[in-house]
Amino acid sequence: MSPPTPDLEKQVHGLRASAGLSRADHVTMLHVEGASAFDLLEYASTRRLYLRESQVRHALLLDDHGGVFADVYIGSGDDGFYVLAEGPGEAALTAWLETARDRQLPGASARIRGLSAERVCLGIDGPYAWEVVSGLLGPAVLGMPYLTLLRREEVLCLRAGKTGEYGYSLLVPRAEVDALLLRLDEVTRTLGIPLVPVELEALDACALENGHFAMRTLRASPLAHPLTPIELQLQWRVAYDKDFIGAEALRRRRAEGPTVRATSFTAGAPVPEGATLHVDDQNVGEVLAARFSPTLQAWVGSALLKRRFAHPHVPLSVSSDAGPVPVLTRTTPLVDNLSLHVDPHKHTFATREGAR
Amino acid sequence: MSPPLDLDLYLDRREHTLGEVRRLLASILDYRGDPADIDPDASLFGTGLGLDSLDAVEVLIGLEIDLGVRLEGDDAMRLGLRSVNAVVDVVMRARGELP
Repeated sequence: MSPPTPDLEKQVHGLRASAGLSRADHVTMLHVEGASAFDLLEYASTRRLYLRESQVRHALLLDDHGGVFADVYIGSGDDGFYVLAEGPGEAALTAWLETARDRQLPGASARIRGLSAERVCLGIDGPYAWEVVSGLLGPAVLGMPYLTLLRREEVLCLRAGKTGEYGYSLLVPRAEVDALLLRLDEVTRTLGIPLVPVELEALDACALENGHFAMRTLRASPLAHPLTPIELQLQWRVAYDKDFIGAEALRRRRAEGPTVRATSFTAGAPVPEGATLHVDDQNVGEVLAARFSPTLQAWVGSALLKRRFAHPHVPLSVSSDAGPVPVLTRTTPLVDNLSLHVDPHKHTFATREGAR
Repeated sequence: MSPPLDLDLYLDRREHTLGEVRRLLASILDYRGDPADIDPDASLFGTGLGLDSLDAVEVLIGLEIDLGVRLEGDDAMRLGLRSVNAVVDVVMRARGELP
């Protein structure tokens, strides 16, 4: 549980009101190419990957037991596939894919290459992130549909985001990062858009505010082991009718009938991660993750609850050192994102008063 | 002051309405799997179930015809259609079943 800090508040408010810039060192970047690259990634990922060039799929990689191993974007480029993953580092993810290749497709031609030596991943998120990124890379950014890739010179741009606001990940050659940051500074000054540096803690707080999954919120729980997409409400990223690593275990869990489900909540006081949640005297689950939400001015979190109670508007309580803390389960998303009100064809940061 | 919550009654009604909304969405999505696999916190648009603006119209029509709930106003539509649970809230609120 992270205590609220003025800096965290500043970061989240900045991201929610204009745009935030993060250095996404927590994102692992891989390039997969070769005649069998598609077969390998199709076998590895929970979703079908029939992608046109520049399309991106948001999927998961599971372990053999159905547990979530990585949260991945897989994009089809003109030279192979790009994998942007949260969870395992570069060496672990490369080894995992190589093992999958050798196990399922022996002798296959699928080369897996980590990109961290060549590139840096920068994140730009916020209701006016589109304006910043189009100022940097050109007007083609305005036409990017959600979950697509765009290459501009040597920069690869992915439109996605896990904060509920417009979001872009820029894969920038290391040698060009300093020059790009200078250009970014110039662009934001010209547009008059505050670009606030944000850290991972702020991104995770935004994800919790929107009810989005974040790998950092995963923790071992005695209530369900491992935590699969079923408990984590990520089944929209699973194609049950295809084979993938962990599919058998996942189907078995589904057939057995899962007993718990991740559910968002808010509380007026700090809530310890791992703490037990109660309805009256009944133990109904435990806290997976909790952070202070600068947007809601409350603690926001995700709890693993018995399915009977895993619905919004359920009053619970949790024990803490300071006594019982009332907790209320919530409907996601918990915030009305400004990005929903901002239309790049009508608004700019300079004319933002008309947006909401 | 709101009346004390009858939690068991609320949870029974919530589960029932969730089932209705899942079946509605499954029919609009032409979903071939079990509607029970549609997660309550899944977003309706973009990431999540991936509905588009035409599907949104179908959801509005389905809510009105199948579930007797009419959504009016841009805000109500924007907020009420963000996730499966948000739709369940809309239906339960209209029926006077939301705490």
